[in-house]
Order: sequence, then structure tokens, then C-alpha cells
Amino acid sequence: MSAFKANLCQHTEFTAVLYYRPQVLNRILVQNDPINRVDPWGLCTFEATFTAVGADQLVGRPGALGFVPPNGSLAINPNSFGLPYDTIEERIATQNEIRANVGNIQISAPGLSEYPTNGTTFTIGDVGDRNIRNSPVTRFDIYRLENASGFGRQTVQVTITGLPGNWLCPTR
Amino acid sequence: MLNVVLLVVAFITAVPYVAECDTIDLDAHGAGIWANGAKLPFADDEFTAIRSPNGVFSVSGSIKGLSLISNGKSSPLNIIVNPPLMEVLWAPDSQKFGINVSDGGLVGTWEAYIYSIDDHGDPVPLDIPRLIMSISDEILQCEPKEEPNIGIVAWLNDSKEALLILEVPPHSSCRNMGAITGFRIAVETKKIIERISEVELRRNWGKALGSRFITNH
Repeated sequence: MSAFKANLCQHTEFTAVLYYRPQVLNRILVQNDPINRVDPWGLCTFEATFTAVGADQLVGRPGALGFVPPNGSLAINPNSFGLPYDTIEERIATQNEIRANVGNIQISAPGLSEYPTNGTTFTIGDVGDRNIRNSPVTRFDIYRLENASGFGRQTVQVTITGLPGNWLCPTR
Repeated sequence: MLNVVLLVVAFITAVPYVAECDTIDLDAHGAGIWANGAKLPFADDEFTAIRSPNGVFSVSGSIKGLSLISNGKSSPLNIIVNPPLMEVLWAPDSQKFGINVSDGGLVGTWEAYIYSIDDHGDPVPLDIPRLIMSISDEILQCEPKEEPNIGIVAWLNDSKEALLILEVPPHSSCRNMGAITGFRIAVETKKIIERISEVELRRNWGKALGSRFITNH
């Protein structure tokens, strides 16, 4: 408990940070471990809608981030994470920012376990199209799923770990 | 014994071949994403000017934007730059060109920008893709409603016509995900001459299609 207090005291803007970026608390308390129930309310957890790209579609080409999106990676809406994606300058900066953090961020959606997603923890692979980016709820495209047409749209609970402190946790 | 040796040799040579089949052989099918004949202005981490067939004009770019270069004059094109996801397709008459670009990622949203070049060497945008957008609701079976991808894949009939494709977004919120429909459009009158089914597109225009449609079903 004393360690907990010490951690809190090191963050003078704790209240504001907690309100806007709950993942920061998660980082402090449980080292981004979503299984640890010590701090279930501090995790970056929200409901998101998933759609899927077919297994043999969009193969072998780099996406907006400059690399070929791996199977099982997600196309995201940068705005959902507080990253601007309008002007050319914003796009370049946001693409660089995502690329620099791709290796740390994990998006976990256990509710998809009954689908052939080859696991339920995903990485970021690309930027979504306008249908993803303009969705009223946070939406992800999963790259290259077997029987994608049968997947349709699935809305499940999502937990994200490894978000940089300057990113927002999507609220919905 | 000879059979065993041959079998081993065949296995050794086949393994790397099978591994390579996971990616598209772009050289064998041109470099284009939507159009087999298109060229990507951004390759090897830098922009390359894409010259017209007669060498008079070129589409040049930087990370800040694309321009039409004509007799040393640079005319900016009001198009989003997305380096890995854009391509230029010049018409054989060198008086028109199309640019396909995604404003997001691989899925899209892809748009076609089509220009003619006036007597002063300036680019004149031709609002041809809007013709297709207006009938996209008939084609897309998406819930909720979604925006299609549109790209130019060929110039036809002495550059008087353009062949454009409307693609249903290739993700599972659309029942006909990834389906494509072709449109032959008269550039001068801006009229749709022919609507082409996916089967006909693949049968009659397969060589014009870029790598995107080699793996789509």
C-alpha cells in the first residue's frame, strides 16, 4: 500500500490524468496487466465493433503505416485514440506515432474466441477506411480472417494495454 | 535409389517456391494496385516523377503534395498524399491522367481523381467518379450504409473512355464484401457507356486489373 501511495504521489496531475487517461493508472499499478484484478476500473476497457477482411484479400501490399499488415492485426481509427488524422502533417505525425508504438500495444477481445481469429489479442496493422474512421462507435477491421463474410459485425468488450501516455483510451 | 534422389531434389526445390507463393509476384503483374498499368510515385522511400507517354508532362510529388509538371511549371493537385497507397495512370494520348489514392489504409477509402490537361498545360479535374458514386447504393449491401472504393483501371478507345471500378469495401459489414463492378465512361460527355459485371471484368479486362484484384474474390 505504501508503494501504491508513493506511486500516486509521484503523479501530481493524478486526478486529471486518471479522468482522461485511465490507462495511466493501469500502467502505474499493474504494469499493463489486464488479468490483474487489483485495478479493474483503471484499465483501458471499452466496447468496440469488429469487422473482418477476407483471408485472401489485400495480401502483400504495405498499408498506411508502411508495412504489410500482418494477419490478425487491426486497422484502427486514429481519432479514437486522440490522434489527429486530417491534414497531411497530422497524418504523417500520427502514422509515425503509431508505427513507433505498434510493438507495445495489445488489443485484447476475449469475446471473439469463438471465431477463427487465431487468438483474441491483436496488434495494430493499419489505418482504417472512412467507414471505420467515421463509425459512431469504436470500430476495428481484423486483417485476413477465414470465412470473414460469416464474421459480420461483432461488438465485444476490449481491453488495450501498452498505450503511450499521450494517447487516449477510446471511450466507446 | 534414383527415385529417392529425385524426390529429395524435388522437395528441396519446391519448399522455397511454396513459401514465395504467399506474396504476389508484382513484377509478373505490373506494379499497379488498382490498374495494372499504373505506376506508384512513391517507391524505395522517395517520390519519383511519373512521366506521360510523350514525355511532355509528369506527375511529381513530395510528402506535402502532388503536382503536374508542364514545361517547368508546377500545378498543385489537391489530393491527399498517402505514399504507399497511391498510383498514377496516364492515358495513351498524354492529355489525361488518373490518380488512385486511399485516404486511410489498404481497405480504403480509395478514390479516383481524373484530370485532363488544358491548352495552358494546367490540370482540369473531371468529376467522373461522382457518376459512379450516385449509383453505389444499388450495389453496396452494407449494414450500416458504407462508402465504396473507386479507382480507375484503364484508358480505352484512344483515351476517349475511362474504365473505372467500384469496389464494395472488402470487410465483413458488407454482405457482398469486395465485390467489384466496372463502368466504361465517356470522358467528354461524362456518360456511363457500359456497366460491367465482375465476371465480365475478370474475363475481358483481367490484364488491366491491378494486384488488388488478383487476390480478391
